[in-house]
Amino acid sequence: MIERSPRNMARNEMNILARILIAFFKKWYPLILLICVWELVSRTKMVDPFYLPPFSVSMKALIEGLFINGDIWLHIEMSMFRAITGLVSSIVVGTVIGLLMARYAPVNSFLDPLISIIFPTPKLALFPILIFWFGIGQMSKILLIAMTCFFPVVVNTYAGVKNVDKYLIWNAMTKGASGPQILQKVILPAAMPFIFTGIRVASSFAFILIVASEMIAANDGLGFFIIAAERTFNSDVMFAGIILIGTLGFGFDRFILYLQKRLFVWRDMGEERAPGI
Amino acid sequence: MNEISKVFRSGRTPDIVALKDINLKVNEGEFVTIVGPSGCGKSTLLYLIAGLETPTEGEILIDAKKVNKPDPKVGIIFQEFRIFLWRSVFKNVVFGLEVQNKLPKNKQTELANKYIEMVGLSGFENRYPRELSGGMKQRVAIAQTLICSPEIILMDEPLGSVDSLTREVLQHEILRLWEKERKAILFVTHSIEEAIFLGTRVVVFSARPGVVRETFDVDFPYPRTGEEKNDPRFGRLRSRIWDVIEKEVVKTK
Repeated sequence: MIERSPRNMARNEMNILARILIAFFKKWYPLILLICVWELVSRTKMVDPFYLPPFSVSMKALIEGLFINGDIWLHIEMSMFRAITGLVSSIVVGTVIGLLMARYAPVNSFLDPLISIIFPTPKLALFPILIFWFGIGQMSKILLIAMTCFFPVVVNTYAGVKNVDKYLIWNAMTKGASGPQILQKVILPAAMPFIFTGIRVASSFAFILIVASEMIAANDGLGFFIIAAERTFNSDVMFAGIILIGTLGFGFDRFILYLQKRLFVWRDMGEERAPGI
Repeated sequence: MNEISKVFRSGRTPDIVALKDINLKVNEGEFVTIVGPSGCGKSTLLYLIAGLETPTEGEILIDAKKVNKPDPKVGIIFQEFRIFLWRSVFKNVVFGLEVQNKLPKNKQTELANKYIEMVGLSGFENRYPRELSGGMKQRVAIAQTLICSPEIILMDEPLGSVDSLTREVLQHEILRLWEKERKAILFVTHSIEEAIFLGTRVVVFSARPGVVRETFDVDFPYPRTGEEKNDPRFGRLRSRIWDVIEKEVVKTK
């Protein structure tokens, strides 16, 4: 019998808290260790703090930028706007085209060779053309991101739609479902897990490219923020920007994983855990 | 059905004749079972009747009307529970009514609940298929088909991938449903015993190309209880059918 005295309850709560902390350390101790080493080598001047300011100093610069000067918010806003606009348009266009390719052979035979040539080409190489055509404003960066993210979405959508069990479509047909209904109620939900995998890859591309493109040509955004700090030798601000973009990227990926879990409760997720999930 | 042939043409290999000159007539309220060696085109025949594939020659008539596309009047239950994994049991069962959308929503719900109860899945309405056993998934498929009130139900080895105990239970349940609704059923199976136990008539197919080798009438009265399996006539019928099939199986070797 467990005694239900207030003291026991308090102890239970302590236990839960302790368990959460232990679980956190068990998973993230390598990161904590890395930060400790970083702090230590800089504090003891094993590495010149000019080149590697201590973690705590970088964090201080980040917090100042966020909450005291508040100048980082504009850059976050600009970067997120470009990344998300580019990503969303690539998802819309990629899903539609992937679907058309999977369902209509002529569309596939026309687009397949083009895609297999353009997919491996680093789209960043096309960035100068985009700047030349559209200037250094929003359009060139959004287009660069959309062009890059389009490919993982289209390829995964195609695979997902091709993988839909023929018998499921037949089953729906014999129940009186029309073509659009089969698309909406059978093909899309069945292909959705694949499409989502494409979206996850695409979002990591978007984060890479937003920083790269803003470093190359921009007056704002986190990429610009980091490169500007480097050019003015504010190494703590530079590290602050890097920590920030890393955290944002991580958070966005977690958000997609969370959505994936929520949307696909009907699936056995057990067999497809990749590292980092 | 009249003189149906199905030829699968493929570029490189010689054409595969899956079915040849099949003549089969199924009457209203009849439970016809089909047995035959694997690969004899039994499944193909069902797909043709369901309008999912088109015969190379001949035609299929249902109520004197030619079949040319799928119709909810012809229900089909596939091997290995082809139900929608992203839909709960309830949403799976209601699917046909939902897409046809001829009934008001509350009537759809009412009917779906009725069929869920009929196949013994009450209490599982909100479960996803991955949480169900093989037998339960096949019950979902049966309810999903019955709710469209088909005039003919085609069953393609529906019990092929459930364990033998579940299989026996489901055999009795299918019989019970048929005895109640008396729809025409065309039931494909690998098991001679299952074919005799369920059917009013057993049709034996030959090895590829599939033709109707022989037809046996089963005159055990309904409702059947399972006792028939101990009847000496059951055994005799089984060995007669086996004799026919054995020759066909040997041919495919």
